[in-house]
Amino acid sequence: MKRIIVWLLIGALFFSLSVSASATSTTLTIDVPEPSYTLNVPATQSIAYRASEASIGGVTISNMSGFSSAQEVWVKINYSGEFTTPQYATAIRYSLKCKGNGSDTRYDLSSGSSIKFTSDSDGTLNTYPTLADGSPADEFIVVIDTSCWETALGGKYTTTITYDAGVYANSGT
Amino acid sequence: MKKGRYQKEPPKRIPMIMWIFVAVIIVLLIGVLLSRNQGDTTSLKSSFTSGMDSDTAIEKNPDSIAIPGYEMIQLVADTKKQTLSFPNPPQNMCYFQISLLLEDGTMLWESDLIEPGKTSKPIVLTKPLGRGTYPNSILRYSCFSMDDERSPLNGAETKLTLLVK
Repeated sequence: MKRIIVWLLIGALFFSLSVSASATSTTLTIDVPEPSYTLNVPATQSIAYRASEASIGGVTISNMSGFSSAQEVWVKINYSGEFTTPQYATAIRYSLKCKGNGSDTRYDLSSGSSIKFTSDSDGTLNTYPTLADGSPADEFIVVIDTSCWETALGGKYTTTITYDAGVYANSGT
Repeated sequence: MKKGRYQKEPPKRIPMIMWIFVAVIIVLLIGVLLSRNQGDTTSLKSSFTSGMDSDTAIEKNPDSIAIPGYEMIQLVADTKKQTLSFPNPPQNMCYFQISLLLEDGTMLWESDLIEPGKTSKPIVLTKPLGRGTYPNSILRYSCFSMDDERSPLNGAETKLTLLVK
């Protein structure tokens, strides 16, 4: 009886080994990282009194990783269009324009409009953005309604610009 | 006493240690088989990286505010306490106050003021989220000057998908 049990155990051992060997497989996994990036937006700028316009730099992108050529970053620009002060009700109106580096051609950048960072075929995002129609938007310019200087009461006027960014499928434009 | 021609020899006893050895091998093999047959679980790593390298000297950039953006972040389902935290890049010269909102505007979390080069405390949600994906969620960056006035500066919002598992 014991001999039978021993042979059964040995059989089970070989069966386990053979099953184990036949079940051997190679699992290939690919971990595709999610895109991440750093958006660099203009910081605090002081604008000279009675200036008609001022460059505030531009929006760039850096530290991008995980992008495919089918993805790009869009940034919507939102602003009130007024410098205000808590002391008075008077406001200084302004608008934003953008242009390419080394170019004098300016394009309107109204509140709610978007710029985009397109990607190359290898998934690398361009550092500088364009408008939706492809016009360059390297540099932003604040254009001030000079008539407002005449009525503005003394004080510190401020405004903020908000940048809403997101990763989207390539628009193909 | 002399053994007869047809006298059987007494059966040899298999030592107990041999039985134990065989049993251990079988148990081990079964364990190996079971572990191989278990399905591979997909591990979606969080894309969250601070992007900071502590070994390199960071140059402050007064003209620009660096805003980290992500397409997707992963949260743990059915619990408010998360392990995720968010950085204020060291090159910045402003405080960050970061908020996480759902698409419908529901505030999930808001940080304290975060100094440049620091990260927020691990986030604690205002309510636990069920498993699923929450597209068009918003990571809102409010920026404030580092002087006594704490004046609001240009801010940013980044759209992302919350993957809750």
